[in-house]
Amino acid sequence: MESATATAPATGSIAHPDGERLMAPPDREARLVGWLCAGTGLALFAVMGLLGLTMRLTQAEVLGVSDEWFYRIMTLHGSGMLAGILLALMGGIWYVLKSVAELSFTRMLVSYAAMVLGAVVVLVSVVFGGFGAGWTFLSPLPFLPAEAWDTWAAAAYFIGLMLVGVSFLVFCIDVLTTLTRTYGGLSGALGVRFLRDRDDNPPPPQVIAATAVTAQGTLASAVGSTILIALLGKSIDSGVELDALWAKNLTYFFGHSYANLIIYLGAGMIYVLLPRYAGRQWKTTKPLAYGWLATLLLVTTAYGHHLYMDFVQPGAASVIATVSSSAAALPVAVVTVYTGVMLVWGSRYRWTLASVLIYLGFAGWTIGGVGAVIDSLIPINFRFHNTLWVPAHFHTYLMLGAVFWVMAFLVHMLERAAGRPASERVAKASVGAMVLGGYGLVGAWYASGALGVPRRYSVQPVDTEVYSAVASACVALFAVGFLLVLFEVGRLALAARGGAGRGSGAAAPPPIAGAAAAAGPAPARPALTSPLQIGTVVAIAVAASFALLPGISAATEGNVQMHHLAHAVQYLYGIALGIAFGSTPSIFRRLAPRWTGAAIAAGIIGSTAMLLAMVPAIYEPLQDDDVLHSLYHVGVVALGVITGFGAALLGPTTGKLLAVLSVGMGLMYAAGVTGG
Amino acid sequence: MGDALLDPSYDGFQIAVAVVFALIAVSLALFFAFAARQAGREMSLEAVTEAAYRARPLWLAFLAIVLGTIVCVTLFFTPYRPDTAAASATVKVVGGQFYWTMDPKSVPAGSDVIFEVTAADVNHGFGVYNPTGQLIGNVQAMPGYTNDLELSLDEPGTYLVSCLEFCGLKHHDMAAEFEVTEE
Ligand code: HEM
Ligand SMILES: [Cu+2]
Repeated sequence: MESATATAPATGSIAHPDGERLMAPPDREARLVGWLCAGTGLALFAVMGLLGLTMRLTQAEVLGVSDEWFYRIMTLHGSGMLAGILLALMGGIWYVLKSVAELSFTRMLVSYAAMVLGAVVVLVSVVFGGFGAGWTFLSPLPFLPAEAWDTWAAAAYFIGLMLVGVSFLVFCIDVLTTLTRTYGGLSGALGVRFLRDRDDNPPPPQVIAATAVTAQGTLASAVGSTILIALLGKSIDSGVELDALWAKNLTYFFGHSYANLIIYLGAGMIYVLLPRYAGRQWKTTKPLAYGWLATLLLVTTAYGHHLYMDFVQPGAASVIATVSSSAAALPVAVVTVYTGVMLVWGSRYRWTLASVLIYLGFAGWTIGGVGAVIDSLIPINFRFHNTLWVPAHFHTYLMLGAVFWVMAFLVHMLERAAGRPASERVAKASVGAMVLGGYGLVGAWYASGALGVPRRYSVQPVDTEVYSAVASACVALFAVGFLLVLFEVGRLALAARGGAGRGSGAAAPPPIAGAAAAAGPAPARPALTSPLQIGTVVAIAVAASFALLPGISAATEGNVQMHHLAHAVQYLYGIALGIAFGSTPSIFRRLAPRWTGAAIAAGIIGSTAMLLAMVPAIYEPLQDDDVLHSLYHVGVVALGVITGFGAALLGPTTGKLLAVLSVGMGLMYAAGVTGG
Repeated sequence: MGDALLDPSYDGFQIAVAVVFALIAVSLALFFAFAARQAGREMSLEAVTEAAYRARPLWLAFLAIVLGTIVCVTLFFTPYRPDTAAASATVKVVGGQFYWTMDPKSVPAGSDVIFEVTAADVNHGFGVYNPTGQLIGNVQAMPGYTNDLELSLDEPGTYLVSCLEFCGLKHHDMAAEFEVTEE
């Protein structure tokens, strides 16, 4: 390795002298997105953290919050925290992707706005509507509130979460579309081509991570939209019936994926931030690519551990879930955290407030992961299910992992901008307080979880209030540490405004080869790339068109599920038409890629409207009139055409994924919704 | 609702799980502290990488074998597929906002009981605490479905059933007693 110390700029005290060369300087848009997302995320964290303390103090019987308000606060805390930290790390990975892929700033702002709006709607639903069914909103609890909230509040909550979903989905589609276009399709961007030795210049690690996360995120969003729209439908028309087991499966698939993807997004960001302090590049290796392939699969199949105690769930699902849950630990322990520690080892790591938090995040992630694996063993879950062990483990990896990374991200940007690291004394004191307080909080939960104390009890069992009291004191300690971080953030921000920062002065040192090469996107391609594919889809359309025949249509009127299935097939017919039409070269050339934003909107609106149109209150009045009834079915096809057309413009990977998932939404809906 | 109070206590199994977890967590913390000290030193990347890459397959194999073995063993101890034929008593359980009904309300000690658990309204969790206050098992109570939970109730006394799935306003208060009589 050549010596770079001589050329190191004056900012060598913040980052490792070689670190500057490992990352292209983020451009203005990347910095803006970074500030917005990390700032908003941490602001939400602060407010929601106070609510967390309120809950703990109530459980300790120090505060006298009513049951109504306890469960409202719990619902708000859970959804607000997840939305805030998700947003912050969406911004984090965007920040490190921007220099290696041409992401759309506008769409990231749309995504940001949708998340903030979603959080506001959730707030309204909880604070003014009294909604308090928990952030997992298990059906049918939202509709049987024991007079604690009105149905409109439940509907508002669903809309709020749908906006959170839209935010993440827009982000996922845009990132996935851009990365696959830039890095040679899905197999290129996921590193599969590299694994098969067909790619000498593999994508940087954050690209592989982001591809895996956004692919799974798109799937999770489709499932989440399905259950949320079904619930929204039931709040419009109480005649709608949702199967309880079906609802549980969809809800937990959505919730498990979102909560998991948060930390995986963070890992992608860390791939770029950590090298700046270690002075060593985080390279794409084959184990890393294998690890992300495994993660993509295992996040998808592990969700069943939430349904172990539903004995009617097929046994195979539980076996798959328990194997996946343990296996999911392997990429973390053998690839990401392992490599992270390796890169730090013997590197003369630069300890600043940001880099300490990065490092501590690994500890929170692994320790929380161990707690999760333990609870994912079926005989243990039989004794630990829904005890406080559950909040114990997920707070360990979210609060002491993901949130530490969010703080690290913000401080990293500030330390760069200010041209100096955070004060060492403040760093030591704040980190010390947060570690002691944070692990004290989760420690009390682990202990009372093992004791068998149920989670989500506003009033704690006899003689266990002491755990809540100790935990409250620990939260106070954590809060002191966090305030110190904010204090330092303020000082760094002032210094940065004073113009001490870099960027104005010395030119950036030459990047190390491959670290920052922003590959240009390949020319846009439609979803269907060959006449054969178009032909196949047209054949599917012809087959699906039978669902429109009056005879078949009439036969499905008797059974609601068959009827919904018929709708899904009609929708499929429309999608097939739309995607084939939009993929024909002459049309595609005229519209893509200027219409990417509209294409994403078409996909989301088409699929949402298709499911909402199945609410009996909407279609039943039409059924008496033959003309209106036929028009309705034509409308379902039209929504399919819109969806398919949008998918066509989004290219081979995202386009096909979107088309398949949209049909899947219709099928999932048909499987679980009856009534009316 | 109200008069039955949950007063939990540890049993050996739960303590064992917690201790194993604590040991792993502390080892991890020590490892991270140790690695942090190594971080300050200066070593060539090649040397570190070579050692780490050489150890990685072993680490993977170790974890895969340990986790694989544990998962396989646990699969023999799942609460699924209760042996309904061998059961000496059947109890019908319904959970509702915010009560439990159990029929019958008592069984003799030594019974192998099948609890047929369902819900009248929303999802609930049928969590069973023995007379000492130890959580000995649970199953979900779901509207429209019946889950069969098999438990051997050898210890006589008053058992407590407390809700283990969030069900609304009085979830924490949804407890009921169940007697296992001396035989
Ligand atoms: C200041 C730090 C925090 C405190 C004091 C805190 C406190 C709490 C408390 C007391 C509960 C209820 C536990 C129960 O009895 O069931 C809870 C639940 C929860 N927390 Fe936190 N928490 C904190 C940070 C976080 C963070 C950073 C996240 C996520 C990024 C988070 C996500 C959640 C979720 C999803 C729930 C479950 C809500 C539900 O059951 O519906 N919390 N938290
Ligand atoms: Cu309950």
